[in-house]
Amino acid sequence: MSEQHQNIYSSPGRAGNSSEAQTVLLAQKAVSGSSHAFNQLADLYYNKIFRMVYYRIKYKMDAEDLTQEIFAQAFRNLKGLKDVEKFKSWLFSIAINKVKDFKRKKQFVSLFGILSDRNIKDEEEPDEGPDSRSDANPLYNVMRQNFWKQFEEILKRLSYPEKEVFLLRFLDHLGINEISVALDKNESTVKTHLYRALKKLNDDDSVKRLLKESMP
Amino acid sequence: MNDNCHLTEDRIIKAAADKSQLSVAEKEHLSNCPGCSSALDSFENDLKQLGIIAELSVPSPKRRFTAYENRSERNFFRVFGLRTSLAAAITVLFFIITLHSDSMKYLLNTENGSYMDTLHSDDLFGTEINLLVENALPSEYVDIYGEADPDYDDDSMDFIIPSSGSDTISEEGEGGVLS
Repeated sequence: MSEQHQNIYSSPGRAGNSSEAQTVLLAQKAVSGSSHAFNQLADLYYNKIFRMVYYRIKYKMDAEDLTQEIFAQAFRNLKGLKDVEKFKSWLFSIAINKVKDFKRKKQFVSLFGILSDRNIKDEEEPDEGPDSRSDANPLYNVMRQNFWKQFEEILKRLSYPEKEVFLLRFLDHLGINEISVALDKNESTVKTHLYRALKKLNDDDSVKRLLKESMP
Repeated sequence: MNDNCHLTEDRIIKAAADKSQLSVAEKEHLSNCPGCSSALDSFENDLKQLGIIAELSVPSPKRRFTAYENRSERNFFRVFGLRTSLAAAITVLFFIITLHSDSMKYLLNTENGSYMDTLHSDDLFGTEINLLVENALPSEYVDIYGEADPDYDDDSMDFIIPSSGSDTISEEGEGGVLS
């Protein structure tokens, strides 16, 4: 585990609070019309949203396009943000809907058998787009592909809401309250989905196996 | 909790989902029991590791997002670009000036027919001018010198006022016709 990540997980409260306070401050400015504040918010959340999209579609180019669209839509609809304290959840709700739309379109296209070569390849395995880390280490690239394949297999055992809640909680690091706002579901429903997802994953030890195989 | 007051696997999973779902007694046990807390820690740690590996397995994005417009300062020029805006502004200005000009006022004021009246009077005035160009003398003078007479023609006029051709004859006439 990298030092940076250890720090993130060892003291989530303090780092989270300062980041949340900064987000609220910037969101207030952005809602009152400051594009500069919105750009700062975009800098703060761009990687998070890109990762969130990538976890779900596993294709870099599409993830980049969707991330741009998500921020563009967020910027256009800033007036619709009633509670600036919920900016993060609001942004994630936009992202969730965009990903849903993207998948729906993709399904629609594949339904008529007009999948392009790239999409067929994409269906089979996660992309191997140029990346500084993968360029530096081919082993990393292989491990990455292997990880996503196995991860996809694990997620197949979960229903859509279980999968979504699990991803938002443990990969996107959203709190229960934030997930409930982002998915527009009440907290007890979110907890139930999360519990079911964790139970399924714990019962077959799939997470443990995946970790064992993915750890360098 | 089971007979030994340890948390069951289900309760551990519940705690991993959200600790607030545990009862006060379960929470208290969890904080005091090394076995239960290590089981929960282990499960939570696996989930954290999964998150970390997933994060590390994502390529870095190449682009950044930049919002160019300040919505409060969004105006005509920013929305349509400077050239288009200038062209539009000039066109609007032209129309405003044209609409306020006299000719356009006449054009728009066709309801009471003043424009048509003006056109008609202009037409009459033009005819009058043309008549004067053709014959600058009042009709009384025309009667005097006989132009009103239907038999009047160029020959008659030449008889009254000899043309320049007659001058030549007169010049010749020093020793000729007139002499």
